[in-house]
Amino acid sequence: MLNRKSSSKSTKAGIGGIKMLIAVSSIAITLGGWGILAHDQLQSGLTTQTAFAQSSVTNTQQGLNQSAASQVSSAVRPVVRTRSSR
Amino acid sequence: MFKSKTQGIDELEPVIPMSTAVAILLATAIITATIGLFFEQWLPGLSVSIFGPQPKVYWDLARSSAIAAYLLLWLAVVTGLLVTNRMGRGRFSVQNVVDLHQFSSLLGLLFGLFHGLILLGDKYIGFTLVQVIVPFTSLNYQPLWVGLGQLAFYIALPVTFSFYIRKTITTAAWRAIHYASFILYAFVTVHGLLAGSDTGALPILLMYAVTNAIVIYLTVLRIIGSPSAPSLAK
Repeated sequence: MLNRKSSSKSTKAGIGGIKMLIAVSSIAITLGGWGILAHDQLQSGLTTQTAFAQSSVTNTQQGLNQSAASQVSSAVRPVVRTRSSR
Repeated sequence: MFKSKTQGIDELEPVIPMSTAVAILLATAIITATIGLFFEQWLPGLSVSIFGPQPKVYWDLARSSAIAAYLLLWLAVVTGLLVTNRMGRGRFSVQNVVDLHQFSSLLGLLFGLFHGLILLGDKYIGFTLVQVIVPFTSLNYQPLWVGLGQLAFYIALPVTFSFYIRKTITTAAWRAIHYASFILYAFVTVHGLLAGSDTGALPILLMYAVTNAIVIYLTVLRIIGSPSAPSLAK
């Protein structure tokens, strides 16, 4: 009788432990899931920003190259004209 | 006298039983390891999620709490089926499995409530209180599939609270209420699969596949193997 009582008491305590684990795991899933989602969003945001910055740099570089090329060609033309007019 | 004092100490039960102590250690390990391993890595994301120009904390918590609520509901269904299949009677008594069944049902309901109400903070979709409370009114986002989740919550209320009125209702009423939990589980699964924004992720798909396979297996066992009334319904 005493053994059965003690065994029932320990099983009850075991169930209490399992309940606590279930509750802690549920909170961990909720907060951990939020952490993972927030981290992923930050990473994808940074990737997008980096890609945007890289494309901006490339576009600026191309723009500068074109601008420089057109300035050089416009500077060279008068010289060519002057020479041809002679 | 000295002898009897020693015997008294020998007969004392530990204040915290071994299994509870192990559970406390495991819970502490889970929390501390999570903080130690991931918190620093997650902190910038969490900060942006709360204080950024478009806070996504409400939406993200709704998504993650939905997974917890789904798993708790699954556990409630599985423990319920184990009791009626008479499989959950090895190490634990029926009363203990029923205890877990009730606990997971109630906790699942709480997480389901949190999952719905936290969406009120989300400004992107902009759920109103009426859209959160009244099924099929979420016109901004998947009204049908969101509506199934809302209906499931309202079915879960009487199923969960039927434990408290068990002695005042008939066995037939008790069973009818509990059979509704199959509809509830189906609604929640469809809601999760079709309204959830994480369904495309492989771990989530695997979760649905494994949990549903277990429920279907135990249900088939219940139908073919244990036609007699469960002992709880006596």
